[in-house]
Amino acid sequence: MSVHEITETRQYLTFKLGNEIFATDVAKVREVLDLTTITAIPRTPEFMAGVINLRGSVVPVVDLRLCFEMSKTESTRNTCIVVVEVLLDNEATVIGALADSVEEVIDLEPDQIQPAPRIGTHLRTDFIKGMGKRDAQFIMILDIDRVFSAEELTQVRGQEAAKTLMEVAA
Amino acid sequence: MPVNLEQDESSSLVRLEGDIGIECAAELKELLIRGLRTGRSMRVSLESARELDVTAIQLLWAASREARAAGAVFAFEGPATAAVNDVLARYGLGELPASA
Amino acid sequence: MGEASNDIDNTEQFKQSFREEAREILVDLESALLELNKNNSDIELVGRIFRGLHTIKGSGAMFGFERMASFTHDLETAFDEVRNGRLTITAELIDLTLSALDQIRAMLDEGIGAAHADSAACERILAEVRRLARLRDAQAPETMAAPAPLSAAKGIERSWHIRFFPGPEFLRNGANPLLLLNELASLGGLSVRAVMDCVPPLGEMDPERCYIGWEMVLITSEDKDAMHDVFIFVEDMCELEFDPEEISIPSAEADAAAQSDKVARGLEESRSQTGGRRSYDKADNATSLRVPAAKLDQYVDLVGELVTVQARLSEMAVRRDDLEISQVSEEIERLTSSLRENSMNIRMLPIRATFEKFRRLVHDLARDLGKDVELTLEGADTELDKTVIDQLSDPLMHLIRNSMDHGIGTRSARTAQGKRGTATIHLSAKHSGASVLISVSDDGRGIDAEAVRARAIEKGLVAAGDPLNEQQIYALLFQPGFSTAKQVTDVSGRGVGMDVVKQRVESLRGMIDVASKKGVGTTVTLRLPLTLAIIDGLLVEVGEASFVLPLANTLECIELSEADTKRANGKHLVDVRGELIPYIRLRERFHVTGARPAIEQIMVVETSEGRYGFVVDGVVGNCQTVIKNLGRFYRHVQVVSGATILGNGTVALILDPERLAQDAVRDSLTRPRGRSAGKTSSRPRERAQQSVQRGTMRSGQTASASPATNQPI
Repeated sequence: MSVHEITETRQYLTFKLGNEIFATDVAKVREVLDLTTITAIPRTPEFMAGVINLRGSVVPVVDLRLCFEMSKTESTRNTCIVVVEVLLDNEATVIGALADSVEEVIDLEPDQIQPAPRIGTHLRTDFIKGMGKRDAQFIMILDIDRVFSAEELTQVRGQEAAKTLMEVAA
Repeated sequence: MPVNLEQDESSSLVRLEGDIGIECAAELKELLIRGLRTGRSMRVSLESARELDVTAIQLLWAASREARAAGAVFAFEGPATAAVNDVLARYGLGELPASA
Repeated sequence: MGEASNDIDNTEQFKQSFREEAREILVDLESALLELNKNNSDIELVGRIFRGLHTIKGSGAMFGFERMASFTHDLETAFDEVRNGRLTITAELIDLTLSALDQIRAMLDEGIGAAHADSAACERILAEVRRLARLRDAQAPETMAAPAPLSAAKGIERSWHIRFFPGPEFLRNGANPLLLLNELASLGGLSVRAVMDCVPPLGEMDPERCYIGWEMVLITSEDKDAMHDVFIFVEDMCELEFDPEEISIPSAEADAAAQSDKVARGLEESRSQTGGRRSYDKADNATSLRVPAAKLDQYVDLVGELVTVQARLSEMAVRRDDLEISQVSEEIERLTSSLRENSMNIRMLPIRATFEKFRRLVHDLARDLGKDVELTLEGADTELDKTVIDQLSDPLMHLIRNSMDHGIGTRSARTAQGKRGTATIHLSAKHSGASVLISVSDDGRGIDAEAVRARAIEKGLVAAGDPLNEQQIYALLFQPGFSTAKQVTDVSGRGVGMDVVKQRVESLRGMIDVASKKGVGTTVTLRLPLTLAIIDGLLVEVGEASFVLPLANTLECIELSEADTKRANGKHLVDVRGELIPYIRLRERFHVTGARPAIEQIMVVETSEGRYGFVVDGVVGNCQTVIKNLGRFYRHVQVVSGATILGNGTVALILDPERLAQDAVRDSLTRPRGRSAGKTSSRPRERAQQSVQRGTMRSGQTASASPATNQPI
């Protein structure tokens, strides 16, 4: 569905999760922060990393790697928090996303973007708006609103809960 | 215009007509100042004035005080004077200096 | 003439303030009328109604609401007749007046919204009022069978000194002092003296400012409120004093000569008091202000930021160990603390106005539904944050409507069941720690749990075989689209409302409890935080993490040693002066790894589940905490009520002891005995009332825990 929506040249911020390169529309990005102390909220799913103090505001941070079924983000020199503004239940909400490293801002023409393949990406394709290609590297363009939408979060939370239950049973 | 000024070399006549309210307060103030500046005598005609509000009352009161201090004549005239005096009495303002 | 548009704005602003205050008067009128309905010989109420109508009439005319003024005139006259004992209060007159108030309300909104008074209805109301009050029958005293006069003796007359000095913006806002004096004169014998001392030289005058002030003596049988009402819409913009004179004289004895003598003497005194006053640029001493709520919010936000910065300063002072900085820091801490309290106080309002509003709703609904219902209030003076109050009106309305419609039966149905014919809806508010409990109770038929379950199955909300306890069934009532009304009525039963209640209460971080007994009644209790902005807390540490516990519910702090833990045989119980208190170890609850310290601290907290201990690694100290919302993203998190930013810039979570206790109680029930508390968190987080369940938990206790050492906080 989403490829048709991408009609003009847009700028994208690219960042890495593991070896994969992801991109998000720069219009959604408020700023990029160095990793700072994240206060974890007890009894929440692991992908909800916690909250940070962003100049006096409390901003939630999400471990994106866990959203894509990768292992938990390890803190390194390059770890960043990409602060984005998304629509959560139609309400503009500021959320931080952990990234292993932030790469660059690139231009992608609409014809450089293809629909995300249903298989072969080992990623949840419903979060992917499309795929771009640059220097033989695939770039996953995230539907950032969707990643954080309540519905999706509930789903993830459901899986998380199921996992926790299994741990308890084990 | 509800507020007018007529002047010759030695006297000024300020005419008030209809309802004198806050909307003409600034103008009345200017006319009174101009009137006081030129004349040895100042008359205020209430010939066709219907109602004076607080702004008009305090401007006239201040003008009469200044005229008296300068030794000038300051007087009201016209049939409405009685009605205006009645209003003034009700608000505890005393009487206006009567016509000479 | 560039000022012109400005003037118009001012007038509009002024009208707006008139609208706001007139609405308040309408609310008061409504509740007075409804009280009068119950007790129609209360002369004070009649006086209150008369004065309210009089104020709306007089001030309405002043601010250009002529239609409203003339409409109110006949009503006022009718109540004057009542006051003078020439007309008796009937239910008909009260209902007429109530519907007249609705029209007045619509007239108030004319020009700003879509609301329009219904001219035909107005005419009808007036005709009825005139008929009742026989206003058109030119003096027909013999036809009036002399009802017992309400006011046997017209009040005692006394004389009052009144000082009235309009402020600088008075005239520009469209107020006319002369009209006010006229109105004052209508209350009794008035002597007026203008004070011209403040009129500056002509050249220095701002022609649109009022420089004249008035000293007056009023001899009247009205009370201070009546005089005050004359000025009600302008009191923010003027200096105003009423001083009663010592001696009061019964009106019968007061002959005219004595009166005028008194007035003259009074004026003489007031003259001598104010002699030499010549300060025409004196500031406008307003006694109270109306401030837009947004400005207040901004103020509170700024104070919040100040509190955060102050915390940082305090921490720095401790770290530097510098006496001078410490002193300054302490001073700032003290100031910040008062400022904070002050700002919170400004926002606190009694819930009375919201409660009173419902008298009318209950009255009207009772009439429409053919039921007999009485509304009783309790704790209406309980104060809570304005933001909370603003959000409460709708949910309470839905709850009351629901009670009236579903809970309460008709008089005949009730008497058939041996109940009192008149049903009661009881609204109450009270503080409970850092929360406020607002409840709506009725003595109706109670919730039929089976009917609710059947309905939920029919609506597909639950499956037929689902095992549901009572609380879970009650929770269904708050599901979107749920309604048990067999036929849709105008009042409720449209399937909206109760889910709105739930939504709104949750957005306030509150919760809903339902208690119901078939045939006896239902109580719905909303538990809401007292304020949404700042709290006093205790900063505690658990592992690497810092948390804030609200101080309001914390009773004491006790040490818990390894030995204590061992003596209790692994049970989470501690003996505090003979009372066994269950505790929750936050380490375990929050899955904190690492070894726990040899001596831990137990914070003993009062919750609705009884006293609970919360075990932490250590207590850092008291802190004033600006509550930051965790936002939509974490809205499902129950045990944390918010976050705050510490002096070192990190975020600490504010715990909700209430929820923690409930959570622990629920876990202890749903998990087989013997497992340690706090291993899992993944069950759906529905809420339940646990008064019964608490009993279960307590029954599992043994008395083997040893006394712990006490330590003051």
